Amino acid sequence: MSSSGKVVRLAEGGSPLMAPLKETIDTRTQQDPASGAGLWGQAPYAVLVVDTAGTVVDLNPAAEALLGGALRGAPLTETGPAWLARAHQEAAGPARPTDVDDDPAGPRRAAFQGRIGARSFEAQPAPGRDGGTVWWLADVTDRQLAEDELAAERTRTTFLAEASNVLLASLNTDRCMRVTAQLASRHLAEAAVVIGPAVGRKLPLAYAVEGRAAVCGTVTADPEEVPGLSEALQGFPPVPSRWIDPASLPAWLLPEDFTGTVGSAVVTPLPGHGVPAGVLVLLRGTGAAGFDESEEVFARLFASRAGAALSAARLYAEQSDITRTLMRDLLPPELNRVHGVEFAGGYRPSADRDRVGGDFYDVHPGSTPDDASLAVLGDVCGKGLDAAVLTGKIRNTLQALTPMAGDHEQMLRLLNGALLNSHHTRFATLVLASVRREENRVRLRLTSAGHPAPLVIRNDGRVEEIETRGTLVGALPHIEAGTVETDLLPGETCLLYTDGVTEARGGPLGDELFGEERLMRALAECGGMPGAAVVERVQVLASQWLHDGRHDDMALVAITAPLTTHLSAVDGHTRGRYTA
Amino acid sequence: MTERPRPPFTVGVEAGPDAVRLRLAGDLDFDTSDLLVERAQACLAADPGPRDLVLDCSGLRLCDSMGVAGLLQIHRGTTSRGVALHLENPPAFLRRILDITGTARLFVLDGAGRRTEQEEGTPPAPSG
Repeated sequence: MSSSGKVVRLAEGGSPLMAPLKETIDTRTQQDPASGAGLWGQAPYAVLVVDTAGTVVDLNPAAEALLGGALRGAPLTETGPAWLARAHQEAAGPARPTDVDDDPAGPRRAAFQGRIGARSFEAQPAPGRDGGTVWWLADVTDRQLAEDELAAERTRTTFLAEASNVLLASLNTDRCMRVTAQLASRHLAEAAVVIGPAVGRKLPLAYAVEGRAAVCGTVTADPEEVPGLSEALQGFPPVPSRWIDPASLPAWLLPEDFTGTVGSAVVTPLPGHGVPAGVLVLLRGTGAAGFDESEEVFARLFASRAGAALSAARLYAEQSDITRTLMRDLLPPELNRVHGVEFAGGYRPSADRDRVGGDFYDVHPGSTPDDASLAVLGDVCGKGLDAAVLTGKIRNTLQALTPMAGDHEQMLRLLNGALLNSHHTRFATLVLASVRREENRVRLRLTSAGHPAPLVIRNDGRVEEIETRGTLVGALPHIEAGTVETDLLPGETCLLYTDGVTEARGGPLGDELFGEERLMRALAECGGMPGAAVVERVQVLASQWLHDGRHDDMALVAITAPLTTHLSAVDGHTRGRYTA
Repeated sequence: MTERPRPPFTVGVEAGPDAVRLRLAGDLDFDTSDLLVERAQACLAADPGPRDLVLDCSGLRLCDSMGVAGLLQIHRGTTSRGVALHLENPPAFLRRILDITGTARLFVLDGAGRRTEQEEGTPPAPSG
């Protein structure tokens, strides 16, 4: 655009650089009108001289080639282009209103423009001799095309940016489909249909017409009915967008409020991140123009953004489904009294809502009241799905191993063997507690596998740490574990807890661990309390300590020997019975 | 409580003729243990490999269960290559978590109660 670029500036009339040139032209015209054609002949522009009466006095060869020689000597109004004739009248008449320059579209729009044949021209008047006008015609066809394209491109870029913003604002699949359909029907076609990957035999759809809010639904239909649809829905390998014969469209593909007849239809896949995101079908009525190449390219650009948003939403939905399913299984059970022993549990998952926790507890009741029940509390290292999978595995394995609970160490060895894995060293620490009521006491066998020691709250207010030690399970080929036995008198409680409690960070300084000592001091005040109350007390204290900050999972299990009344036999020497 | 300011976890590498020393600083946890394992494995994979791998823990601020898992992963690598794995200047919290989890015996801990055991299952033998 180098040469026409100069003329553009001339047409704007604002460039001081051009002023001398104009003057030169005028001077030449005036000095030697007869040889004007010769001089203009070298000009790259069509030039015609029109006198005050509106008659074309002269034109240069370029103008002759453009407008034909017949124009010479004829009135401009009759033989010239109508827009140029009007321009001449306007230019010859009173001065053009100055407010034209204030037009927001810019002064360029104020220049005289029109078409000659298939091309666009800009006409610039310069004063000629005897009040006549010299018209310079510059071919601006290419410039105008470029300008139009630029404007269109800007609109599209704005639209794409807006589309990304709107699409990425939500991870809801339905909403993403609706927004995609609505945006496409507003900017790309008269109507748009987004089809998601089939769920069973049903295809989820979103319809939108002329930018109105989209409607969601499902149809039971075979994607094979629409050419190219099933390939596009598979998502991989990517297939190009495809024209389809409007006559072949099944009725379910047409939005209900699309009244016209479909003139053109194109099926564009929505490319996802390795997962099928869906397909966009664009429809235009018979009255509208079909899709040209640039529109198709643009539709693909839009489709790739919509596809990215939709597949992100779909992946998220899948992930939260999986998490929900796992969570349902992983939720700690509600604990009650089993075979004359009180069990109470408390679980507070970590503040990261989407992450499945790694703490767990279970109580497997003994098969008869004389058999020991097995309580398990553990902590799996890490978080998220990996931790959740490991937690599930441990709980299942331990449940299967309950018949072996008479030998905790053996049970832990078997569990360790089941968990060992060459890929990683994710481990679990846990406490096993075999619990059996004997008369009014509760007999405990406790084994820690790399876990914080259980604490026993005695009736005299002491808090005793049970000295059981062992190796964590799941990471090392050989483990060791020592079992410790103890009895609970009525009212005494044994507390199993995970380090989420003692490692709660907070306190007055905000960065202090809750710690084992603080826990033991708190428990010392819980003598004689029911197990559920002890659990609640510890949870409250740890939560207050946290000030709602970031924390790990916290799990607690209290095993309590119920307070009993000795219904002694009359002589006071026989065994008697106990209530509760 | 506002989020604690967390200094970045760093691993400084000092390679000597027989021993490689990694200086750990910061929090060894869920987010950082992979980095330590990668560094340590890279050192072990060198040819010729070191005879001793020393993890200097004096700059460590925290070690959670994922940190222990990382140390166990490194231990797997050193055991299979017959390399001694040292934990130098372990802070109290590190000794504690290794004690509770029953894993202290796997490492050569400097200072009091230094024990060395590279073969699984053999009883701890005092040394130095």
